[in-house]
Amino acid sequence: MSQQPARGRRRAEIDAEIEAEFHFHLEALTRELEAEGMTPEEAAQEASRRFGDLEQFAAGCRREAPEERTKLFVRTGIAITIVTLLAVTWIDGWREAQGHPLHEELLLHLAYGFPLALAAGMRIPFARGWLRRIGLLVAGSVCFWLSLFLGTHMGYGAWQSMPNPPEEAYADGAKLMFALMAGWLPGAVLVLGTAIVTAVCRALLRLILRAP
Amino acid sequence: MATSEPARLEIPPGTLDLLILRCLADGPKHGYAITRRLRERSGERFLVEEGTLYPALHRLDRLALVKAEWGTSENNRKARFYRITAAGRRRLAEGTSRWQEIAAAVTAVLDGSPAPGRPFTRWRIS
Repeated sequence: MSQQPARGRRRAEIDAEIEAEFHFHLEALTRELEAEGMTPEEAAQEASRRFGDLEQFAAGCRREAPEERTKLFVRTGIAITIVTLLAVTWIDGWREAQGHPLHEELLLHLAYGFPLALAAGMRIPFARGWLRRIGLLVAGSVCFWLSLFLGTHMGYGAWQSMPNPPEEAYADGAKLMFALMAGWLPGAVLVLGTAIVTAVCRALLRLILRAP
Repeated sequence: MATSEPARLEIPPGTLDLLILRCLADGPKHGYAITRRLRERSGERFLVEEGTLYPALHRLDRLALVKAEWGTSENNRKARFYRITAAGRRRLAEGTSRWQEIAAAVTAVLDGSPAPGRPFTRWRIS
């Protein structure tokens, strides 16, 4: 038996595989019915009736394809990011008019980095294969890292653009460098920590549900 | 004298996965062979559209309870074969044991007598 490529199939390839699988089944069932004495037309019709709704079952199989689920996850992630960024931009504009210190800008940016890192961490125990898990760990860490760096950078920028900024508004060099060089560390800790907590909760839940 | 056909039964919800895993425990099979095995073992009593099997098989594959591979059938046709994994065997053992407990509990209630050697508190009614 040949090993099926588990990842990276396109939608057309997934559909072709499902179609080939169904076709094999219908052909075998038709042959069996012909052997029982039906005419080829009757056998094909009966096989189709016994098999049921092809489209419905194909859609069911498609939904289970790992590539389709990953695509759905990525799309959901992108949608959440866009909505969060729009919200942040809107709040940011509103706060710009009010005048704001560094930590408020930083919190605004963490508002998308933090949930994305959490979502990636929560997804890790459910992901199949180490490559995908590591990918989620990297993606979550990078999201948090970026939000931390951008929040610090834009926070200081906004602070410096205020009328008569204090001297500490210009003490951004070391902090920006630290956020850039070491920002991945809290991100990775957050993602890994979330993954571990999720895995433990999942195991406990399974244990409780299976307990007599 | 007309022979009476056995009554057709709906597969109880949640048991299709277990039945598939049991069919695969004897060795790798393609979808059609699994349906044939189900028909034979159940005395053709299950009332189910054969296509129902495939979304369940793909779900089991995603959950790594079975492993799918393309191969060649007995008729020299390209077919997708499914093989049960170690995780699938564990799930089958757990599911079988649970099903037997539930069946024993239901039978005991219907018979009006407690099942021997099993306290009633063990069974969870959900």
